Amino acid sequence: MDINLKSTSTFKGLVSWVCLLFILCTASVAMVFAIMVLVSPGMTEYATDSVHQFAGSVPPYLEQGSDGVFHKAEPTDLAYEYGVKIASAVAVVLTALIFIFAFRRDRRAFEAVVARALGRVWVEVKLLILGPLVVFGMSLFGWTSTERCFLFSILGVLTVYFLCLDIGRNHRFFGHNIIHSILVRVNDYHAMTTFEQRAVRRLYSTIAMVVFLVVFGIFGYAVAVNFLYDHGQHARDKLALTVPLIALIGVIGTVWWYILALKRDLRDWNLLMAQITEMYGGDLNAVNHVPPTSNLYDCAMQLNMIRTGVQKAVEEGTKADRTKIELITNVSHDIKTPLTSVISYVELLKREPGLPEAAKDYVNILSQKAQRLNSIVQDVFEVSKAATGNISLNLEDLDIGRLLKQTFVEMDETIQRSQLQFRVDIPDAAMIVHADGPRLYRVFQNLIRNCTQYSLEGSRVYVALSAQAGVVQVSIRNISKTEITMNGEDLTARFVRGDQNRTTEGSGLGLSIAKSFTEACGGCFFVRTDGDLFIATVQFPLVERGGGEGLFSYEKSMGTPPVPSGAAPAPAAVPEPPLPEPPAGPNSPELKA
Amino acid sequence: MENDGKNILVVDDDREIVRAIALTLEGEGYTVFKAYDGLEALDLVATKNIHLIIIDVMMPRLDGLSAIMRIREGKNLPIIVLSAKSENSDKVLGLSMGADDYVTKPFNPQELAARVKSQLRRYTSLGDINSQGENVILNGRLRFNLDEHVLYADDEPIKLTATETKIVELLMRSPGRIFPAEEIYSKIWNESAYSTENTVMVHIRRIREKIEINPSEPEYLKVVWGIGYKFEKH
Repeated sequence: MDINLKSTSTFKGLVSWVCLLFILCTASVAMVFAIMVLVSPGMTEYATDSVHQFAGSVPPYLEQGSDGVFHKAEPTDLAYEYGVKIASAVAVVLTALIFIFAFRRDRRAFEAVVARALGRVWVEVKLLILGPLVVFGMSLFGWTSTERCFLFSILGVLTVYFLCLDIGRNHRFFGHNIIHSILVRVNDYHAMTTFEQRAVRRLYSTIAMVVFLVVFGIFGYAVAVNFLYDHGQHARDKLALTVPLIALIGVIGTVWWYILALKRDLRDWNLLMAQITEMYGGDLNAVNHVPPTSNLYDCAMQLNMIRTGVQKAVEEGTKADRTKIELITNVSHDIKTPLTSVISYVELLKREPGLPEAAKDYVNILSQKAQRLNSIVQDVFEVSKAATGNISLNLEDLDIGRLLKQTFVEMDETIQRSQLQFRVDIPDAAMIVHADGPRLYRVFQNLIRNCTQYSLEGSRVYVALSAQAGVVQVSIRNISKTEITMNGEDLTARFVRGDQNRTTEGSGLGLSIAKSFTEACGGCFFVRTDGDLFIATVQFPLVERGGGEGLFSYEKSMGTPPVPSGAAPAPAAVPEPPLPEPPAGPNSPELKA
Repeated sequence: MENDGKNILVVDDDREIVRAIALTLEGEGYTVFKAYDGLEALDLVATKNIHLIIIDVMMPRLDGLSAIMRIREGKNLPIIVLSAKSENSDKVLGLSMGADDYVTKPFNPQELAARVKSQLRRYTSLGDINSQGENVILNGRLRFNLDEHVLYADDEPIKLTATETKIVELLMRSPGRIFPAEEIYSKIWNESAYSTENTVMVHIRRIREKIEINPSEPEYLKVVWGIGYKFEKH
């Protein structure tokens, strides 16, 4: 639509513009005609004749007789003929004027385009065209030909029109000249990079060389022909031809040199691109071997330096990570040593006979807090290692449902103590995931412990395991004791606990550890809250097992399974060839025999 | 007391820890020698009749692992390593250097005392069992007598129910093998298992509490998460 609109407007502008040119030309011709009539009234007929001659038509006052000779027409016919001619001329002029005015806006746009095109022409070229025009006009004064007068007037009007258009629209009429353009190019050249300059220099020198050789060939041939004029036809031709032949060889050689240089550049580009690809792929040892003579040598060296820099940064990054781990290890060691004393002496104190009741109570508190401090130190250590990706995983295929059941059995005491009701929905079908067993146990242990610590007393906790679309999902939902004021993202952050006053047991690292461990095993962990409902979800990709129950079917591996009476033996264990099927139809050969 | 006359060497650069361990062990009736670095420990081992060593890893002058290697050159006695490093690789390194047990700091003094007892029992009674040629399954500090159907830990009979005894026998017969709960169930109860794994799991937890020194970090009856249970080979 847009393009259509634009093209119609351009077309309208073009029509209007052509009409304007036509009117200008007509007006100029009419003016010259009027001047001629005014200067010598007797020339009217002659001038009219000239107009007709100029237009290539037969004057109406001349009629072609039957003998083919023109003779004067009758005055009545003449008047009629003139009337028609003038009327049609007026109609044409009026139409043109209507077009000019109706489409003046489009015309101005079109004129701008024309002016822009004119602006691109060097002023020298314009002067070169103007000069002959002026000379031509001057020469007309010596002539008597009326057609030339008309031509001159038309050319003059058009020239003035275009000059006005150009000067009026283009502010740099004289500014855009050849010298200026050359200077601009030279400036551009200086602004170019060395590589660009070299390439441009090579291209231009090749073109210059080729042009020179061609000119040399042509001129040399001409000169040689002249000089050898006296040496006979045969010798002249043979000897003269050697000059263009040498030129041709020169041209071929130059082009060949250019192509070779271009090929060398291409090869170096390839080297650089290969290095970039390799570095992008993670190989920081990739080095390019661009020769020092190459145009791309600087670039290649810079790339090599970038490589060294990146390599160093990566090394420093790993070193920093290692330092961090070492720091954590040392700090946790330094905490553990005094903690050992604390725990040991608290234990000794506990067994001290004759302690007052109050002291026993205090000792018990000390013991609990020491144990808690111990578990916090362990958690900090583990979560820091997981966060820096520094844990060694032992990934294996395991049944997540079984793992959940085991977890619940292991945590039975904690669950019993919590007074919460656990509604556990674990399907019997095995759901195999690829994960680190002890770490995954820690994930669920933390989640269940979280429930027992932060759930509303007497509320229910729902644990559900499901698999769909290749994803195994464990969701644990519980009702929070206190209002949850944080979103899921914040809750999994380190050292965040549901209660802001931090009085409850726990390090505040449970969810963070669960998240880190799940993600380390290749799963997804997220936490969602809905009012007081707290939902933790663990997702793992389901491992499809081709061999069915391979890992978990103990019957095959044991050989003598206690099969319930009446059950058929496992068919898969007997790889015997299938028994021949009973004949299916009367055409069967067995039946005939 | 049974522990009288047993000399135990405690080596750690932290004097308070040494003292705490000494107090705990002396309460159990042992005689305790103290050393605060590896070289002192070597001197005491050479001059005194030491029956068991508890040694820290990170110490000045001579570190624990080097000391263990030197001691092992001349003597065969149980060594328990103390360390603040809880990494599995550290444990493996310590055990491969010739230690018999590995206890991470901070530890419960009672647990340490239990381990000391266990190690001493094994070292003193090992010869007798082998000479008797009884029909037994030996695994670390555990011994299952197949004739009596009794499990001994550190030579002391453990009170297990009939079902628990059957489970222990099944697992101890193939140490290292992983048994899914259904398999244990069908073998012990002689019925096929349908959603009854929980029963097995609960039994196994109870057994663990009876036989392990530290049931929360079992050494023998281990959970293989998501797969089953196994009896670790020692």
